[in-house]
Amino acid sequence: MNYFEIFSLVPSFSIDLVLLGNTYRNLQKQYHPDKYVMSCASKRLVAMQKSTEINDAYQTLKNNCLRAQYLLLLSGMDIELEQRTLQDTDFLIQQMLWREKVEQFRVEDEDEITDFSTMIVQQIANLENEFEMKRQQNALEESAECVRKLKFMLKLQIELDQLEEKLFD
Amino acid sequence: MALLHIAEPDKSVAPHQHKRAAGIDLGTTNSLVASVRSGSAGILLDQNGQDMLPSIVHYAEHGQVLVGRDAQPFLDTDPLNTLVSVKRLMGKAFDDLKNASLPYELSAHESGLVQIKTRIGSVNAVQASSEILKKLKARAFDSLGGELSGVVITVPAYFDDAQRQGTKDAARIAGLHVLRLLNEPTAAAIAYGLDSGKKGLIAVYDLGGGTFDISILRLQKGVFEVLATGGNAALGGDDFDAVIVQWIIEQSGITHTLSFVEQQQLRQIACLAKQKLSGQKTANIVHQGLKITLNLSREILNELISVLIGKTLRACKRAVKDAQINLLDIVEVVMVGGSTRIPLVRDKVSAYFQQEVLTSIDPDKVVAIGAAIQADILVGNKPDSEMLLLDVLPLSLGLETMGGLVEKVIPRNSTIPVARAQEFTTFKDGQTAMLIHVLQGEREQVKDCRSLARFELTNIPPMAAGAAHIRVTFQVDADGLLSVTAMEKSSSVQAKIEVKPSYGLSDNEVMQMLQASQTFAEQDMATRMLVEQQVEVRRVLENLNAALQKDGVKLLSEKAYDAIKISMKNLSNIALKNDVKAIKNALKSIDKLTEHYASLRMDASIKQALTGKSVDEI
Repeated sequence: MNYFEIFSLVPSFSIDLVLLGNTYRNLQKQYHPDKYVMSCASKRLVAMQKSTEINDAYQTLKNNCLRAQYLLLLSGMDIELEQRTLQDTDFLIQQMLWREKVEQFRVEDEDEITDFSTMIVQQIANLENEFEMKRQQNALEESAECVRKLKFMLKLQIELDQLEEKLFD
Repeated sequence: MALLHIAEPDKSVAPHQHKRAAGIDLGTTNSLVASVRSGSAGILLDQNGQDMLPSIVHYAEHGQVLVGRDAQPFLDTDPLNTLVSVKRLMGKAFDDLKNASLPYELSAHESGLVQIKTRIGSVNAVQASSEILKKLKARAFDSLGGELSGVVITVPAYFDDAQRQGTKDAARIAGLHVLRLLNEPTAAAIAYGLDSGKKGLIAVYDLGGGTFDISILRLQKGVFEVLATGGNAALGGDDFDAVIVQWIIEQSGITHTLSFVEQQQLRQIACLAKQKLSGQKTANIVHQGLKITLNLSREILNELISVLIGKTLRACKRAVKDAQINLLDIVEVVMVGGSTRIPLVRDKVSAYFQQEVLTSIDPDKVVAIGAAIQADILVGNKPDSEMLLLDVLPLSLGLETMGGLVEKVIPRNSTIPVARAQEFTTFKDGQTAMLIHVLQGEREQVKDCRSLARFELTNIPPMAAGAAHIRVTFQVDADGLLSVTAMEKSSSVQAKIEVKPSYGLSDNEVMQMLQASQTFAEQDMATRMLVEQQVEVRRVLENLNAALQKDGVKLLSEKAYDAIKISMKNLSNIALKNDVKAIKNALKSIDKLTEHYASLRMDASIKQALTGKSVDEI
């Protein structure tokens, strides 16, 4: 059973996250090890494995980037451990400039940091939309490129978060 | 009795189905045991009506172990053999504690685990904790009228694998069946959540004697989903006491090194002053031996502890961020732990979360109550319960990579149970073994993380470098405990794993302690039976004395009266000797001897009741 099937969902990037959460809780009410505490060892083991799988599926599907990556995997493209790098030089140069900018932020740049953070959120949303579009057009390689870029942006977002924590806490 | 046992039909199950279950809060300073009876959870009391068991273990002469209030007096007179706050040592290595100011003689076990030198030899935190658990187990036996089917034991959310495993081992040594290790803040949320039927986001701020935890949960249709947890495994009320002690030393100009006893005394004085300042504005600090007379005001206390409280608020901020929620969406802030009685703690937490904090359930008891509710459900007493707990891994799990760095395998705040597989390959031709080092923590370098275990993968089929693919699976169960399996993929050889826990007890060691404890358990049982019989003797003698005084001369012949008197003297002599059988026999014979007297008394009292009354009145 793939992760979408566990949740009785059709594989798709746009999913109902509220429904996903409700199904998740209902599934765990059936399979969580807490329901089998007094059962025999083999039943307890099965419950742990099943519950682990449900958790894994939920964590993957509720996160946009992981869900996109999983959709690629279902199409036969595993980009998680790939060695190849991005081919889009413009994007890479842009990344370098953004990184430099993050490194130069100081405490007094609070407003600018907020703007920058909003820009990243927008970029991420754009990439997600583009991914969904390319995927529906069956442009597998192009949609994979979107996910690779998405991962760059998410990393940048984490760096900015860490910087904010360092500067303002 | 059977006719007196009435319960609401929907709240009770048939007696033969009902199982005895308890929740145990194994605390740094105090421990508690609670259970659900007739549908409501309550703390089980000891024979003297006390709820809290001080987490103090005293190793007395002749191998006797005293726990709780019985051990308390020895804190002053024999501190080296009287252990407090052992929870702080749980799962800790000697190296972790070299610089800690503990009034004990510490040493390292060959496993690296810290040990405390006492008169019965070296004792570790697992053994000392098992003594506390045994005491609580006996209390549950007495109050619930039989053996427990299972217990839920609470641990700080921030406890790592070694600390959790240590807690579970302690329970095993105490002969308890652990249904689940439950995170303390989650337990508190259960206690509040089920009472009020709330839904939405809940923050639990738990500041105990030795640890601080913050958890953010979502409650929805009976499911408690932990979104994020954080805290500090070495920050609590003890640290507040320590800064007060420091202040006392500075203020009174003491320059010489304090003895163990003096340190312990100053800690107690500091702790008392701190507690007083929750209710009043100033507290006197007096130590006659050290010629200290000081006055501590709440303002000064606030100044002293504000840095520590600040640390907890930073952890709150991080947890809110990790949970990816808006601070203002939190609908309840639950306060847990004795240290949340301090006014400044309440004020600052309330200010941070911008709302009144919840303190309606006693912060010292709320965790045990929640654990009891969970234990009742897990053991199967409430088959229709909707309640479910989805907890998280508190600290990331990782592996050592080149250059002493840690690569994260399972990130913190992953919902448990959780598993991840990682692939490894050989880097030399013909390599047949590989060492894998598992760590827990958020830091990047091996030296800054907790070393959990070293696994040696052996019997890898000899192949060219990079040809063997070993898949190692890390599984964290619902207790938050890690297990590891490995497999060579190309040849499907299940690689043999040697687990060498870095700081833990091997299964063998736990077994040894278990055996040792069973031997002692037999002794304990014998002692208990003796004490019970002696108590019975005292009760019988008191009753008889009272009866004889009242109507002995009137009802009995002189001969019979004397016979009873002699028999009583004899019984009280036998009770002084430690022979359970002889005491039992003596009790039996006095029972027989006084049978006739008892029936005479019965007749007399009936006659008296009937005298002068008409038939209608009876």
